[in-house]
Amino acid sequence: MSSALSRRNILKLAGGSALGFLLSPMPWKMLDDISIWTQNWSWIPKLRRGPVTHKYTSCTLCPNACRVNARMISETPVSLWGAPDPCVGHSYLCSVGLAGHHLAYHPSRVRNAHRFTATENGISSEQLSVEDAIAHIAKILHNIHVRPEEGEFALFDCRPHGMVSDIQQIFLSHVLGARYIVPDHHEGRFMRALMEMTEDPGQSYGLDFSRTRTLLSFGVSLFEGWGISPLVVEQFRSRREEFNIIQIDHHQSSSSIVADTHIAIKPGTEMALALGLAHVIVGERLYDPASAARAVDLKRNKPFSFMDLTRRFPPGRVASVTGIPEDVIVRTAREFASNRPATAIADDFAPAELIHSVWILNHLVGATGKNGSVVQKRPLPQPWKGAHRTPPTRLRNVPDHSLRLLMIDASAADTTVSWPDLRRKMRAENATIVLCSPYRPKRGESVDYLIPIHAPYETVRANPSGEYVATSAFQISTPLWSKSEEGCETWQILQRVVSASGAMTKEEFAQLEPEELLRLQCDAIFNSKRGTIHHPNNDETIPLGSVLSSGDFYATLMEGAAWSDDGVATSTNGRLFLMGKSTSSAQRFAESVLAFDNAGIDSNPSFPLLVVPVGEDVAARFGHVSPILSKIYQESDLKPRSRFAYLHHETARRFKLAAEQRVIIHSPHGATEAIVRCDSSVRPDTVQLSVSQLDAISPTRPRIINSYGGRVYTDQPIFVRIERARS
Amino acid sequence: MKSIEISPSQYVMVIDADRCTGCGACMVACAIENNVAPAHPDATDRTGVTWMKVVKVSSGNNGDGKPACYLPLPCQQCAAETPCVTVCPQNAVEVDQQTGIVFQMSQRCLGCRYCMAACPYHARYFNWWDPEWPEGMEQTLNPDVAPRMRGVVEKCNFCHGRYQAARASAAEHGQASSDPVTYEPACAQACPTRAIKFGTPANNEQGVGDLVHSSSAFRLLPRLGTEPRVYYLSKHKWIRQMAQMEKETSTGEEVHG
Repeated sequence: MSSALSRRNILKLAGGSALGFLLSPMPWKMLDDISIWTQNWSWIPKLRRGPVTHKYTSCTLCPNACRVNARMISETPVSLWGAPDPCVGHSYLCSVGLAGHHLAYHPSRVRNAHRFTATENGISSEQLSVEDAIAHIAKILHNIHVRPEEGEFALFDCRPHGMVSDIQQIFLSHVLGARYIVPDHHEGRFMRALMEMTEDPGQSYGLDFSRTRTLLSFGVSLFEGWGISPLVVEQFRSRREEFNIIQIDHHQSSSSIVADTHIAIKPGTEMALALGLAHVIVGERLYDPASAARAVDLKRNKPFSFMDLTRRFPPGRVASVTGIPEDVIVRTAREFASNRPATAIADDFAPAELIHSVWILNHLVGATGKNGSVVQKRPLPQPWKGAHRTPPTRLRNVPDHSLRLLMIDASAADTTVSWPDLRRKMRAENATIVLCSPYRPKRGESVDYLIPIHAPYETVRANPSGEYVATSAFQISTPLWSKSEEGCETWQILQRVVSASGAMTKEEFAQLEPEELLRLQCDAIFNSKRGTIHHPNNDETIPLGSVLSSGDFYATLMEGAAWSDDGVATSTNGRLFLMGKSTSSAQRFAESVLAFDNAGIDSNPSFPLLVVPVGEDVAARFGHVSPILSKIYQESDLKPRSRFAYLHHETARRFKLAAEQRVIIHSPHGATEAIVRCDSSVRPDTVQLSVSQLDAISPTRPRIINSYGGRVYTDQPIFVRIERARS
Repeated sequence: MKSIEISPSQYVMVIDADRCTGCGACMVACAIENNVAPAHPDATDRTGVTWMKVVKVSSGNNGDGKPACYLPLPCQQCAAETPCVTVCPQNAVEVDQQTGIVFQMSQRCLGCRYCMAACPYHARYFNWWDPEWPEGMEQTLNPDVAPRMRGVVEKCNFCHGRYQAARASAAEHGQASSDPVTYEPACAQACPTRAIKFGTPANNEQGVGDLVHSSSAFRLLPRLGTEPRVYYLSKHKWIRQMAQMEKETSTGEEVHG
């Protein structure tokens, strides 16, 4: 038998081997191994290991002060969740708050001080130590002290609220000629407007929705943003069927989509509707008799007649002004007045006359001073009651070109200030702006010095409850990282600058540390002997009186507990003022209403479309929120985008425009390009544009932005026309 | 196509479209829980990775009192004829018969994207870029979920890391299986208005059993016979019709998501 090896044998062997290899597990194993290997590249992050613990703290990103349960792995937070809250029942974190632990690692984070200089090629930045930066700024302040004619020194507090703002005001009162500036509009403005319409001196108010049956919202962002959302969400969650929401909005906002009734209104005519509703309530005698008896100017004619004012807004006329059918106006007024407890609310950023009109509605239906509506609350006990403070100056009241040195406290997550407005207040030459922030300046913010401060959750911060809650509360935002990062708070930088400049007249507070500040606040609360402490660990509430010492109270708060005040008797027989307590406020309101009544809102035939401005992706992308918010603002189409103009189908048809078409939007002040998107949630005869698009078509008009709620207000309506762009 | 009954012990998600406010908290909570990286600068709504995506649906001009709504869209966890399982050449998609959850095993995935083409709900996402977190932020990643690399497909798995953690915890306490109440996906936990509910129909405490049989319950594209384990609720007829694609599209409804 021959054993010669033929070429055919070799080919058979090769073919068999190849087939056998394919049928063996080896190629599939190789594929798996390659897949696994390629998922272990060095740049794929390695996960942290260690014991899992939970830590309770509170969120400082907005004034709502939501309770936070942080899941920790090896002393590092990996996720944040809402926790039981003594004021609202249970805190639910918004999309920004859920990612709050990312902010320490924000790409814009800075660890060193910077000096920015304008050059021919743009802005150059130079890194320097915090001490050097403070020395430079102190020198400028010293010059102001010696030569006051060079301009003023001021601190701009982006979020004036609570103890830190308090101490800044007290501190500045010892610095000659220093100003304490606050934004023109800020949180709590709606509630504070009530002070001008009630008799009770020194009282503050909160909203109690626990029994509210009708909520009439004038364009308030009910489920997102700062202010009222935790209160509304709690009721919506726990007793949806009994909680009737009527949302008045010019477009289908997220609030109006979820509301029981959405009343679409022509933008800028909300005050007319509020007064129209008041007209029906008064005319049909639907008002609360007890409240009517308390309202001293309901039927009084001097100096300004409320009845005369509302008489100007009969439903028929309001219908023509607002675009709302007359029967809807009458039906809404009847529903609001009969389905009580009822509360009407407006946005903190809304025009003053609208806020006033909304409070009139509350007075008429007996909401003011009633459980289930607007309740009185005692203010948080203050450690420095009676101390001299520099009074706040609203930004618009600061004379133009008067400031030589301005420090900005940007420890709040976002600001509500218009940067061009701020710049206008600075002297034309040699003006210096110092930004105290954990992050690099945003696009368009030209500052001279940047001094880093702590990011959220990096240090202890006092965290009083928001303005809207029904009882005062206090908690401490404790740090989530045990290793303290270098940095300090704005008020400490202010201390050091002023001390180094020699401008301070009194050395009080010069050595105060953040912990000492918190202890002083805790002492004040402890000495009041009122309220309860809620600990989220075991969801238990104990009276403050059972705590032995102020030190124990402080330690409990540092563990994540929250103090909340006792409820107070809410029924009040104090007088109510529909037109305003003082003659000046009544006159201001009457004049605003009459001015609106005479002028109305009329478009120019050359510019027929009314702009509805909205917050958009740019606000989130360049704001100080976690990059993970890209899921909402970049990787989905959920929120409006900055390059689009949103039009109703009918409007698009009327102007012979189609979806995805490039257009130019003209206003009397300028023009901008956009791409058309058709959206039936936009009101006909309006165009929805983003904040950044307004820069081109309304360059000088101040505006107020509440980014997270997506609300933008302009002082005056903006009208535009749209033309197809030439390719 | 024959309709199958979902086992009462398998998990279902019930999303109330009338309660969703479109806040996006579920999207962010999902990304944090499952270590989905922030968007690459070039990513768009088509190329991004959003295991949970909320879309706004507008009725056009015929909304019977509700002109628009928000619909959160996770993977629908199809119980029958699961399209992605059928087409995957790598067996990288499997259905857990005990829980009913459809898994994507990224280790096996070759990135052919057949499953994306097959999915009628567009609930699968391809990693066009390596996952990247800003410096230091990787320390905040969830240790229960491995990050995926560029070139693989991923999707919602009802936060399977949480399911495993619940089972491990049950095992520590000497129990053979975990109590369904202890397991909840991140989106359901984060939803401020409780629009998203999760559980097994057999468990009364979670209340999903009654909801899936309520008259306002519906599922997306039921005519395909995929028997999704994600149910929706709405009292509005146009929303239920829209989900079933029975409504004439000429009425002008729009979907933004």
